[in-house]
Amino acid sequence: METLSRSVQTLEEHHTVISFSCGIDALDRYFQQQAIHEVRRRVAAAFVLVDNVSPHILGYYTLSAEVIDVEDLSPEIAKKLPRYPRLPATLIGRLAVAQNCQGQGIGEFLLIDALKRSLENASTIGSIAVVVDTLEERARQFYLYYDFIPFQDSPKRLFLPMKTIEKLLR
Amino acid sequence: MSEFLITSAQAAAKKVIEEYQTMKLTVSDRNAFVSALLNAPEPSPKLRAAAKRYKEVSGG
Repeated sequence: METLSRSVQTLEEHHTVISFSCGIDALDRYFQQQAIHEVRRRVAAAFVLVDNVSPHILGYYTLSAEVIDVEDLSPEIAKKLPRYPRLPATLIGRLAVAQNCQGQGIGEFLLIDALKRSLENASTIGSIAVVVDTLEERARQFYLYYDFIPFQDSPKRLFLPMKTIEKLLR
Repeated sequence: MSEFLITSAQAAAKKVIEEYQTMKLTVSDRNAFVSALLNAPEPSPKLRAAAKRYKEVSGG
């Protein structure tokens, strides 16, 4: 991927979101209509990959805080943890690449960028893992390829421990 | 720190946590999740290769 003229920016009003199309309606509609509102309400943070020489957005992802309920653990596991019933995590809610830029490694670039940003914020919010919710099988395969761990009972949801991310990026 | 401040801080932290989306997992997923956190795997070769490419294109 050539990125000398590309940069990841926080989504703002001036970005041209309306022409964005990744081929999945739900991801396009969210980005065009909802993303900026969620950023303003601080429900989620959204980041865009832009080409500095054109107004087109090449891809985007969103991050938000989630809390994972970990009550009723088996005693042998519970004894190793402080007694927190809930653990904070970082959710990659959505990640999409514009249709005309697919196959160039942009999804992978955005994923590592999201992990890096999650790690940077982890020390302040105490996040212990990055979690993703996938809409379709292709997305699930994408995260499996990078060795995200699927939840057995909710296979569309996968995670990576923050400690693994720390080893990767530090 | 006064007890009042500590109580307020705890209340604020609790409120923040309650405002977040809570992810419900089955008991078996919860146990698997926490076990994975306690024994975090080394980054896989594919993930390492991806991070290397990321550093190359983003200039560090």
